[in-house]
Amino acid sequence: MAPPFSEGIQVSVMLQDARQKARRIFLELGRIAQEPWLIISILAIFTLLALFIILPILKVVQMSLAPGESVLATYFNLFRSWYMRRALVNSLITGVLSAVLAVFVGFIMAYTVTRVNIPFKKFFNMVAIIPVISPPFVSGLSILLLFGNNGFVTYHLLGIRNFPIYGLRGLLIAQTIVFFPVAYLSLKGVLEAINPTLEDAAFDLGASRWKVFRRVTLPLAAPGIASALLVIFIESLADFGNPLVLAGSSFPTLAVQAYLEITGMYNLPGGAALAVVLLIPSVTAFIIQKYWVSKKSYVTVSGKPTRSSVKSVSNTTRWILFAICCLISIVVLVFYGIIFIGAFSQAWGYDYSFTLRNFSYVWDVGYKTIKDTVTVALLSTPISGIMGMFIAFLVVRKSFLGKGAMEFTSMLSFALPGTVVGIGYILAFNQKPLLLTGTLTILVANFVFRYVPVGIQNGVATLQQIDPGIEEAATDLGANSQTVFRRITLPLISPAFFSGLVFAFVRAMTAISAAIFLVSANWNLMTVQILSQVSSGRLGAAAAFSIILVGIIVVAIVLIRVIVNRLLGVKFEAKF
Amino acid sequence: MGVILKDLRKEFDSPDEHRRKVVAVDNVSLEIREGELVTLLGPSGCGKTTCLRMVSGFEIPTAGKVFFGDTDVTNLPPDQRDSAMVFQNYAIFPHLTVADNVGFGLSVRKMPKPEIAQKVDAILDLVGLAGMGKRMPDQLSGGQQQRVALARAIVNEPRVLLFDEPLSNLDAKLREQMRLEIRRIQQHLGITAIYVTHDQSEAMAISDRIVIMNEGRIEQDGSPREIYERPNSAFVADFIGKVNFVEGSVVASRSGQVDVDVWGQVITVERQQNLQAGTRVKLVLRPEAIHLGDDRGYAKGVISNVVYLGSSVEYNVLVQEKSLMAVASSPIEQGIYPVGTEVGVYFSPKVVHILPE
Repeated sequence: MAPPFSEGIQVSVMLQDARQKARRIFLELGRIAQEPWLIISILAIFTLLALFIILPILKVVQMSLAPGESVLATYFNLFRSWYMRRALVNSLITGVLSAVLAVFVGFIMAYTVTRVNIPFKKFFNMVAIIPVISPPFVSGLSILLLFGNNGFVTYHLLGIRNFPIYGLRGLLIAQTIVFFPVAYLSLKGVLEAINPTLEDAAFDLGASRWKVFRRVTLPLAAPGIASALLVIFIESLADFGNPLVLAGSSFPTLAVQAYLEITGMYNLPGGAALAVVLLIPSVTAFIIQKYWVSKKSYVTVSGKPTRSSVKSVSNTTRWILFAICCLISIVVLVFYGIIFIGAFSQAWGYDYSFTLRNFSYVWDVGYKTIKDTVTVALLSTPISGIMGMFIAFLVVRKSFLGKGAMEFTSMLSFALPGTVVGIGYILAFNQKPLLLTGTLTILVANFVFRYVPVGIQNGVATLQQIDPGIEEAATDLGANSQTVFRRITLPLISPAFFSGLVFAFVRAMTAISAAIFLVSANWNLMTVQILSQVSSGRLGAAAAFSIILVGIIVVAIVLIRVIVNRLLGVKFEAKF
Repeated sequence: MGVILKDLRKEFDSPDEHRRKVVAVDNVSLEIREGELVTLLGPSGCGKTTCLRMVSGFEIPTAGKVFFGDTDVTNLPPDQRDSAMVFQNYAIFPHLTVADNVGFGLSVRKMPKPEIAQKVDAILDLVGLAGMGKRMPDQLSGGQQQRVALARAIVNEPRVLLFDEPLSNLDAKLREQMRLEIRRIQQHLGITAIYVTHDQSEAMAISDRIVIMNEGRIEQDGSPREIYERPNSAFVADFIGKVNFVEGSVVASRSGQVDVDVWGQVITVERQQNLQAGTRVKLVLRPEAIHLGDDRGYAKGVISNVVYLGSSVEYNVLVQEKSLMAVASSPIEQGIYPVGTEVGVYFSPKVVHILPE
């Protein structure tokens, strides 16, 4: 047993520690106080995050809680119904299975492209980007065009009517096509960062090719694989478009049910409760991803890719992998090609002759929507990009109270299912002084805060690769924080900034799950209109609308690149 | 302008839970006179860089103060201090030309452009980069980048110049050339300088004064000669150059002289402090002070290893079962003892330095 006085010493040491800590915080504060703009921006960012991320979540939770004795009454009532329990199970099953399938396909392609000597790598890469720059429910639309009631394959080629494509099966195909590129692109980065000389070393020590893969490559890529699984699980769970298009009433999912509760039944508490249920697995997956998986990563900074001298796979395996990649590409091309054909066809299933009727129809009903969509995307993208970079700068380079909270909150919005955000926004901003429902502001705010994590991630990754000494040198030469940021940090991170910008633009153009709650007669979005065309069976019009949307995105990417290069001399690669 | 470090202390939070604080700098006090170049020298983790970062303002001391002249700058941020740093990895702005890099500090101070251009040209000339202003940093060699970093620091005419291991990324030849250059420019400008390095020959070549640091504390502060010839601890003796420690005991002590029993012989060496008879001591013997000969010497030894280095030969000699390092110069003239040769070991009592155990 410790003598009694040692406790006293312990306490006095702790007191001293606390005093020193307080003094240090005070000094830090003192330093920050010398730069008032820093304090102002930090406070402004906290206010905005609280208002546009935290407040909506709280509102949803609040709405879902019943005022009576049993606060959870809404939940009990909802899940007393078999149908809602089914929806919960369906959502989880879909989320897990599509994550596994998408990561499986994505990994095969990423491994083949990074480790195997095959032709057409650029082509495979391009194919993988097509689903990313299309609205997510376009693959659902393709499934209807191919396998639906008037489906090209089922009805036209095989003569089958009412082929059972609705439900889990169709949904999984659609989700795999939408989400495998997410896995492919991130795992490609992961595999590129694994130094091939490690694999060479294993070969050299006598391991077989299979053993090298199983014992070296796969374990090193495991954190990246886990991370991709969780990210796709989150996205698929929250996805709204494909389940609405493909699941039908026999396969209810949470996101769709929440939407229907609110827009169909005007049952706000019910919709909110479903959204909260959706929130739990998403946020759990996010926390696992952020605080556990990412810590396990062996790959910190992506180094220069070094060429391996040894062939990673045998000749047979090589051609099998090549064939798989070709197959994936063909499926993707067929799925997105069919949209093209659909857009230019008279009547799907009956008359495939060429027409521009769909486009003129879309132009008539959708011209204003197209304008609205582009306006919203053009406004929200730069704001979210700049904010993301700035938060990244603060998080990586500055120390201040609440830094962790700032990073967590701003990254959190990525994990929030769109449904939750959408419902939260209509609940939080429907009265003065924050009466925003139906306005341009609410749409822009939604996209800004929804895609700010992308900017932050990009910024953090880039900043961590810039030697802090460079910024210190500038400070040492007499530049204050503001000057350092403007003249040193900003130019160095601008390539990453613009590639993040392109990503945010694409997402703002193609997103639907939150936006569908926020559109109005005055401000509508193309994705929402496409979905309503699909729901009312006008597949040709939906296809034409989708083509216009993708066309705008492609033109915008090219334009942004050219303009940025001409005006600012910054060259960048669009990363998705 | 001189620099004074007064009772400087810096603690960092420990990464592991058991020890709550790591003391990087432990009550360091130091005065650097105007125009002097003082080197902080020590093994990695000895606190020298942390000291420098407290002088430059990148770290706030946990306790103690930093003065520039009479001004207390302890809590002044780096951009408001009249010091300029040359960084270890140069920290050259990769997106700016050489001229824009060098002129950065001036442009931050809102100096008119033509004036900046003029000053930049002059300084590029001084560091031997005349006509390279338009180049981008990635078009420069390591040595040239080093010169840009130096030019960028001195163009602002700081009152204090700080060097954080500036030559550690250069190859050996270039390092020797650059240290002469740095010394020349520092003396030419008469600027007060603090130089951090772990390379002892660099420290010897460049400094007015060397401060040896170990585990956050100052071990010794003195001129290069004092540090090498009169180290006041085994650590310093061992850290600066190669050294032999030979054990002995004091037989008698008079003013300025001590009789020491070494290898069974009594040798009289110079020593200012008196030491009591019977005190165990270590004789600090540099390898170049040990002479090997055919006569008896102080003790007999056997050559156990020979390394031929061209301009000199390094021997290991076994004397009373302990290995001793000896260096003989000019082997062309003197010849080389083969391994196994029995030799007499001798040193001049004047070169011996004694450390009490």
